Amino acid sequence: MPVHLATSDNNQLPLMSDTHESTMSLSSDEYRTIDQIRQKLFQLSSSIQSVKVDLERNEPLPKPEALASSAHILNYSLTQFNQIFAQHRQFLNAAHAYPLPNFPGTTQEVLLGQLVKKKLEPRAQDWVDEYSQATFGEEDAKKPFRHEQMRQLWDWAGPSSSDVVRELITNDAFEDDYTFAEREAGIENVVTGLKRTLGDDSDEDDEDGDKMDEDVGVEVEKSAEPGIDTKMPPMPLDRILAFTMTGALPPGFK
Amino acid sequence: MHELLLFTQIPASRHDQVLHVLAGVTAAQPIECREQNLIYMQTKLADVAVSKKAPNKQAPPAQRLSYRKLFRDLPNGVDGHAGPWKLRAEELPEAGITHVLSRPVAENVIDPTELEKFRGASIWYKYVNQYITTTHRFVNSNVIVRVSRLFLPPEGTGALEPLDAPLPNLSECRPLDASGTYLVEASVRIEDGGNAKLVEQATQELLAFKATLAGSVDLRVPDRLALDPRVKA
Repeated sequence: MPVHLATSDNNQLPLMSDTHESTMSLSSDEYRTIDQIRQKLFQLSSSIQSVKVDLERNEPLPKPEALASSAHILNYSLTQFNQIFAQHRQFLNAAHAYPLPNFPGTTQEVLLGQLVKKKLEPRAQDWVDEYSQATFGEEDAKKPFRHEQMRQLWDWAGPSSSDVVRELITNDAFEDDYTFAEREAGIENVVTGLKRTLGDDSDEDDEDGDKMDEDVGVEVEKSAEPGIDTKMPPMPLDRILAFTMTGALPPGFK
Repeated sequence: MHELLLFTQIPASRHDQVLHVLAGVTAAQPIECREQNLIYMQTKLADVAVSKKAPNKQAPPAQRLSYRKLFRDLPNGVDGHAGPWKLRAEELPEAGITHVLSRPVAENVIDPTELEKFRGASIWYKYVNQYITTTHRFVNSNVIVRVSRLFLPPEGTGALEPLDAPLPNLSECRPLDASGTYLVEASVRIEDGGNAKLVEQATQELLAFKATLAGSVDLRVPDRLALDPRVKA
């Protein structure tokens, strides 16, 4: 249920700012701020809801690309929300809500309670506590990253990681037959399990074909074992078995 | 001990393929082994009353002279020692069983005093021949599959005393079957051949394995008398 925050003109729920000496209606600017925040929160909440539904109901799970784009949208909404919040920090920190006498407190008691309450719900507070604990290291765990530090880190990490990825993509690194480590150590030492040489360039396909033919040739030669002529008729199974029992060579055996 | 057996034969050109098939079916790589088998002919029946004599212990009905085998594992590489000699007494496969071959078998490591009966001018046994097997062995639950090639050692090996002859060198041996076929043996061993329920269960397992391989390696029942160990007069 969208909370209707209104000025006292609307006779519903006025907000009072401590920066003002006495009860005063909100300026249209302040009113717009609150409405913006409401909209952003609504967006954020519905995107979170839709990701949640995606994850719960889709079988199989959505593709990584889809998840990444959802995360991107969430991140974007959060950033926007943060920006608006930061812009109007002073006003928002000072503002607090109280009901007018004509607020229907008896019928809307729950809503009223939620609006006037300043502390978070215990569950939400636990959640905030849990995730405000930084876990970057034993030392750092005691003093969480400040917002500024976090931003510095991301200012550096974001561009530099995309630089690395861009380089990999422009070099066709993912199309290569060998890893960087293998290239550096020299590809002639790589155990590929193949007897033919993998071409450095793709235009050696013909040559590869020839080499495979040669390999087959080698295979045939190898199977020619001394004393064995596969063209001869096989010795009957019963004869072989009889030999293993009595040691008597079949008649005509030489 | 009792053995249920099926055999077949594959040409040399199919050897690698069959090994791959078996590796796939059994989900394991083959174990390579070499064995030396000496074949002896009994020249005097062991006194059945003296039951501690190993060869006849598990096969009291063997009233006829039979061929017996001494075998040992050979090292796969150049170095290494051969395993101890083991005596293997295979009886004639039972008649009237059509789906598989079923025969009593005794197999045990032979002790030195017993081994003396196989030497030189013993009145008990006479050396007949020997062969070497190179085997790839697979195990699929209770079924043991052996894909082997049989080799004959060079002429004159063991002419004097085969038990003490130096280890045969495989490169000097020649294949028994010059066309290079491999012998495929699938077997299930059970302790008690008299236990009908156990025999039935083992037979079913072997036949199920045969059905699995059907079309790829067609195991069959050879002529029962091809595995006749009895000494002909």
